Amino acid sequence: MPDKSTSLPPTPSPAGPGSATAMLRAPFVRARAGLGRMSGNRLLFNGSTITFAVLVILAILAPVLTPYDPVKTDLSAIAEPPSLSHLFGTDTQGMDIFTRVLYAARTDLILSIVGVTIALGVGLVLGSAAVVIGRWFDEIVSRIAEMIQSIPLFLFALMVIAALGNSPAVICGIIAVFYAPAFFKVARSVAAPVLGTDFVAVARTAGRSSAGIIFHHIVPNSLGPVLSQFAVNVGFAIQVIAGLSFLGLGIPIPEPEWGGMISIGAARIAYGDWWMAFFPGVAVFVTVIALDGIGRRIVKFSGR
Amino acid sequence: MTLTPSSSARMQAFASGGLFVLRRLATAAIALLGVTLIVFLLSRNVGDPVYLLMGQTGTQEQLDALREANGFNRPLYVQYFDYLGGLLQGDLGSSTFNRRPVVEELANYFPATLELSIAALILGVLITVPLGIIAALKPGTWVDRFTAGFVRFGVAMPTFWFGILLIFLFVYVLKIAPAPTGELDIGILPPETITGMTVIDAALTGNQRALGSAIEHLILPTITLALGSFPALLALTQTVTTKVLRSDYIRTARASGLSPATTYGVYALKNVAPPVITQIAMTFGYLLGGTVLVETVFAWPGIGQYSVQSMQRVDFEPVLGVAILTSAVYLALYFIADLISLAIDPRIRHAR
Repeated sequence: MPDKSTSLPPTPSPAGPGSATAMLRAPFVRARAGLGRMSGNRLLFNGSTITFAVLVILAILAPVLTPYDPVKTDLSAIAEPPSLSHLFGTDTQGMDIFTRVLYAARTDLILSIVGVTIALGVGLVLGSAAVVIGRWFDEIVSRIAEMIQSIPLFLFALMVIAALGNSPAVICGIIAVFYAPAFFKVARSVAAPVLGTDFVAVARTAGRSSAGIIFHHIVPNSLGPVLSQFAVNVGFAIQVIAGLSFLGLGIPIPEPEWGGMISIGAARIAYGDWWMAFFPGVAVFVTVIALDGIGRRIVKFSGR
Repeated sequence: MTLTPSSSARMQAFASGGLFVLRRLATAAIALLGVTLIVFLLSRNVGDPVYLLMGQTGTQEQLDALREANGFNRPLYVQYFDYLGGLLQGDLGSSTFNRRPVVEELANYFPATLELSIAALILGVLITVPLGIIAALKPGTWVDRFTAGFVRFGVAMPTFWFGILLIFLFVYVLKIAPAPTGELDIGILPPETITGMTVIDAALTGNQRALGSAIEHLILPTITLALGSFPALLALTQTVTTKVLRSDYIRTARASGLSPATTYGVYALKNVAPPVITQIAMTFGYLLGGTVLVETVFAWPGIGQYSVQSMQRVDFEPVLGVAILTSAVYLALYFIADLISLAIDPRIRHAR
């Protein structure tokens, strides 16, 4: 067997009742086990990851794959149904929908990934700090996290956009604020049991700093759950961005963005022009379901 | 008076239950205070309130006078407490668009949102809770697989897009549903206002024509809203039930000869109920604040559409009012769910 760690049971307790050495080594072993599993073929090659990879490649290769400009109007080809020259048809301005769906993938993926990455950073730092620093800090940040999660996201987003405008930075900021609590909770729940263990006490006595403890012991352990949260939340963020743009409060319309495209199409549904709203919606659905699947995979393979 | 051990234990349990309620109440109050602070700071960031009141035409003296008169020159924290005082008296400001008090407008729009949310809640709970329990009782069967698929489908589906697809299919292709014109067909007079909820008002006043139209109009938005909001409850019900069924006490109960009816109907259900109730309350809160997109798609005259339209008219007070109202309702629902859970499962009072 090339990798011993794969033979471990899926969830060894962090430092359960066992020998002193087991207690000391358990978290390391577990982290390695998680990573070992995650690099396995079954994690990399499945419907969700392949779908998502294809989406990303399509988004990157958009200029090569389509001869059209995503924001150029063509008055000679208005509201054309899908055909060989316009795979997904054209919209009310004669813009090619296939082209716009591909370019919109860039907009939606970049905004959501940037926003959720900021959330991840903030949540992880605060979550680890809450456990290391302890009581009052933990109490305050936990309450704030709870408060954020108790506000209806969409209305809050409307409010923030009313106050600060709808620039991409503001939209990323909204996403970051809203998903940071999820990462905070994950980091905290992973860190708390690890920090309570004797081996951290040993590390402390050995003079390791709090930052060192976080970096060496907490970060590796939280990799699986955090990555899973990341994938799932990027999916949710895409829905939020598309929803805001659908209302005309996110990415402004001529820009290629899935939600904005759906709003153009929604107005044409009554005339039977189904393709304008249909294809961008399929893009959102497929992307989110792929990300959700990736999140589930990671949970399964990191043994949580 | 001497206390017997049992009565003192009972008093202790009562006291800790009271403590639990107090702690929850305090948490909710602090959260609501936080919401008002955020809303206040955002509202002061929307722009110079004096310009919003007067526009660009005022002279410097006029602006200063107006600032003085409205108290905008006072320190921010004084203004915040003033704002809080207004909130406590039910003052959410007025629309800069039509000058009407936001509270009055909310009273007009909220019933429609409430009606749609309640309809979605009933539909969602009636389907997802039994489905989640059956899926947990029969793991590996088609019910289990269907549930898993349904959860993934509901999570990934952009609600507003699903609503548009439903409209296209049922209204324009099959022609069996009414066009999305809000709560009633165009040309049907709304029933006399009693609760503000059209279906209920139509039923109460015996207005059959309005009732039929109102029910027809309620169906598609209800399905749309329920699909987007209930995957979490379904997944949770299944997970919790599975966990309870695998527990030692259920095995013990079965082994000691209790009937399946007692085991599952009493012991299992009692343990499944608290988290499910909490989730239902949270979902209801989410419904009330999350109907924005569905209301827009179906032209539903609720608070979601009201806030979006206000945004489009650069009229911010209503948006802030809606945010405060929905946050307050959400926190209240969460608190009530806690109380119900406490009544069902006394162990909760010892949890943090």
